[in-house]
Amino acid sequence: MESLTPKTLDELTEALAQATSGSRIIAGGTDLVIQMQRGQTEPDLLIYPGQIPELRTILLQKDKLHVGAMVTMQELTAALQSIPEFCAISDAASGVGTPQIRSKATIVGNLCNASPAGDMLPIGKLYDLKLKIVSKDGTMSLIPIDQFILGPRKNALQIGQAVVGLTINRKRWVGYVSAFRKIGFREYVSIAREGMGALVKRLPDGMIQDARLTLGAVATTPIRIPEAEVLMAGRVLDENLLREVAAITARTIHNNCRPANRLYKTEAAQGLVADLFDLLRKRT
Amino acid sequence: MKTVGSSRPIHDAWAKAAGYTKYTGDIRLPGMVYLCLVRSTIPHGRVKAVHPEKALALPGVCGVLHCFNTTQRTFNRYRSRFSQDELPNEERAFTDYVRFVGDRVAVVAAESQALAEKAARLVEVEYEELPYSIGFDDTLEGQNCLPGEEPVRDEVILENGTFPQDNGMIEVDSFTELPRLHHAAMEPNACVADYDPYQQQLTLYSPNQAVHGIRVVVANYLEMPFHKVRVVKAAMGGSFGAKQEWFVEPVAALAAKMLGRPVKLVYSRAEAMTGAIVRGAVKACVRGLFTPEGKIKSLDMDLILDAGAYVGNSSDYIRTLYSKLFRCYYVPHARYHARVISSNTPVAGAYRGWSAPEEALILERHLDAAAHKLGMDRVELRRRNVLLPGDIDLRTGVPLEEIRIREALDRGRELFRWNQLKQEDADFNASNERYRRGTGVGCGGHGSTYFPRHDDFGEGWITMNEDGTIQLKITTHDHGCGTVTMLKMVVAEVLDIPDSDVYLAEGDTANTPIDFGCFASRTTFVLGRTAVETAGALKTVLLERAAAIFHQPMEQLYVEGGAVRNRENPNLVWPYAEVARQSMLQLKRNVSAQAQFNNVTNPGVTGAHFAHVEVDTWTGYTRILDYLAVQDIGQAINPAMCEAQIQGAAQMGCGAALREEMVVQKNGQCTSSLSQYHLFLAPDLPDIQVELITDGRSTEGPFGAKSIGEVCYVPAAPAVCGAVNDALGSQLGALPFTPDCVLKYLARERET
Repeated sequence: MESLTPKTLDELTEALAQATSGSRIIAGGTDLVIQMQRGQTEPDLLIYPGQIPELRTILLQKDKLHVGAMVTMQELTAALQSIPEFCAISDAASGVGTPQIRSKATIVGNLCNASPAGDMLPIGKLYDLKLKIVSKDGTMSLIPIDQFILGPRKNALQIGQAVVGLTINRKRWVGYVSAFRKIGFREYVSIAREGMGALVKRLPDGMIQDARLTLGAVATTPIRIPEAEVLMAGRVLDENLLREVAAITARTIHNNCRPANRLYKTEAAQGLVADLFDLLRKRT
Repeated sequence: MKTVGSSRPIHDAWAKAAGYTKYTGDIRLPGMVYLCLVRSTIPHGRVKAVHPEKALALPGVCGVLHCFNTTQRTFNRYRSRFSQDELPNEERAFTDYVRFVGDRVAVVAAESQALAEKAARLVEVEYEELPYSIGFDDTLEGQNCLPGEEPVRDEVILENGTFPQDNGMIEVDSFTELPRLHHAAMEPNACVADYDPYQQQLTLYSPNQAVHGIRVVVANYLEMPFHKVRVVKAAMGGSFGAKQEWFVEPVAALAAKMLGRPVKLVYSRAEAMTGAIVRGAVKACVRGLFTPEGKIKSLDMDLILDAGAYVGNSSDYIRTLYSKLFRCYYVPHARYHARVISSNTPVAGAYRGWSAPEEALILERHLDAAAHKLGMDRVELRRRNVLLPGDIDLRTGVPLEEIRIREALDRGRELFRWNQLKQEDADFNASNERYRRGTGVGCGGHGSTYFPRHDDFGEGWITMNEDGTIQLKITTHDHGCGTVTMLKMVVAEVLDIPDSDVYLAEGDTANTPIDFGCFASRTTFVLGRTAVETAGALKTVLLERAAAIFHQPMEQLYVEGGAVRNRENPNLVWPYAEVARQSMLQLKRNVSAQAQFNNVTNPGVTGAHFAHVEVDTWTGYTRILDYLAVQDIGQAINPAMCEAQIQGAAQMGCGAALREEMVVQKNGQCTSSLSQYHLFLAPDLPDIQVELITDGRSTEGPFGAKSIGEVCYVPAAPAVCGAVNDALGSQLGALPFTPDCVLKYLARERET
């Protein structure tokens, strides 16, 4: 196995030119190293882009958020936890694994790994996030999340391509509050059994103008809950709304998840939605 | 007492925390090769062929040993002493008849760990598959039996007392089902084996609980005399029973002998989970008869233990489980029917408590059911049935001496505010739609020695160095819980020196006296007392030598502060170093001693644990709000260490009650990753409150001490299970009470 550690974007494209179908890009390595140790993958070439300064930056502007591909969960949490429209991201990033994992694992790696249980997948869908991709010929392109996550552990990257970062249209979400909550087998160090993200825009009197909800770890790729989103408009975050949204969420989960976990995941929807609402209420 | 009863850090805690400790996995001998096992991928079948060619073709691969090029001889993983002739030798190092997914078929030796693992994946094995079973029902139906085999591998009916004839007794029925558990020691099973063909000398290094037990098994297996097999207990990162049965050592020993090079075998986490031992799956029905006042008149227990692929320790295990009925409660009549079955699943074996935790889960569930039926408070019901000081163990006739389980219940009820909490919970539950709170209590008893099942004894060798410090040799196996520190403290107390002046090497068959190993919670009780006797013998030698050297009347001499002194003349002080040196110079003799201790008691050692939980009925999560462990310990030699052990036991118990479960899928694959085995973590827990009851002192233990390591785990899971059932108003008996289990129960309740 060979390894390359490009220090500039140009060197990255040069490295990508050497990549084959057996080559892998390693970011935090919290998924890939485990796969390699189990013998599930034996890359011929590993490319580590962690020394490219642009990939380590978080750019928070009035109209957009740009996150480099090597930004860790821990760095992202620290950068976004006090920004109401991006709290969902820090909720999700701060709940991944342990402090040790969060200091290595990256948000982009989580998306590229495309595990159905990945916490960043419902987050990506929540914000209509776009991935910035570089090809070996040096061209850059932007791919929407829906076209990037193709299925369980399957993303849209071609041989000779790498994700260099992601962008979110911040203007679209100004004035919203957000939250993410997941249910695992335990409270800490737990992989999501179901996760839910929310973006809500409220008037000063608390009435909801617009809402968006996404579910992760239910279907093979993240899903929206349009029926509940429509229902929430014009309402306030009260117990009645909670019951109705929980019922729709439960139905959505029931219709989308595998039979083996259906009973639990459906029943637990009420708790998931209630906890999510609690977070949203606190973030007025 | 100056040392005993004060708190000391564990001897190697700093080194472990700093990453300095050298575990077996860190050992590198010159010329050493690394082993990786090839394991069966099917649950039951015959190996038709092993194709090692692709593995052998890799540069750096030194050999592939498998079922067709190694000995047909067999061993028993559970044997731990020379006298267990009844145990069948049922395992080969590599088998052509596989009985579970994970059975050993071959091993690859290579110049690096990574290469060995890669090569092991290239070994091709051809199987002829046989029908298999994974659960109680299909196994009992004989689905995996070969012609001539019976599904029940062992069966026992035991009875004590006579069936009660009283009128007006109340009948209570309960059912409990317990899943397989993984020990989750941080360090996996491991062994380094070194064979010198020129002296025919084998040396094994492993984290283990019985160096002499391994010597019996390996020497017999490889047909070697005992003095040619040296077994060294290495630094250990936890055991909980996972390192008291032998499978890494015989395999590594065979490989080293055949390859003519030192070998290292370190299990992966997946191997430690599925290829080592698990706590076996158990289910039990109990029918009890109680007086209207809640006194137990009779218990009738019907139990099945699934031994997994090999019977291993299971025959002894079911018999020991029955004996635990008589270590905490007064049971005037008991009848017990138990069966061992053998499915195609990971092998059942030792686990902290060695059947007592299972017995307690079954019995405490039953007592909660009885309290429910009788409309009685759960603590009060237990109070009326616990054994009292002066009672005897009705199964063995051994006096329970100063057993303190009733005091533990009373102290706990008060400290935990049991009665107030019950009222507060009722108020909380009445006014809360989502969360439900409940309290639980669990009791349990254990032993402190093998006695009277086996006669137990210990031996110690002790020498004083020229500077007055001490070399102690007692075959101890510290799991990481501090028994080395405990023994040093005991010796320091007797000789009135700082415990830092004592050096204690751990078990090494070439250098320390024979010992039965770390079983039956016997280390503090038997070996601690052995240390008292050994240090006492040295003290006598010291006084004799001082009398001779310094021409003093023996009866005037005593020891204090690391020196021999004269009671009549405070100016006459001879530091130990002076006595040791002068003994060599003038008497031409070393200051040393040897002692044996024969143990003939096994006092009652018990605990009562209390848990307060909050169940989220919308997600099924259970949170531990409060936890109190009251332990009847006698003298705590090192109280902080005891408290930490009890806190760890509470953590394990919470896991067993609420989360931990090794699931065997339909294809025979078992849970093999900690990402699917949900241990309780430190942030999941409140501060575990510990209360030690120290006046129930033993007659034989060092300074009145009794055991702690296993007994403190026994009541833990029952207390938490009881609290969940209290919160939900349920009678759940199939563990663990996972979120899934809770929501399934609530959904079913809603429908009925």
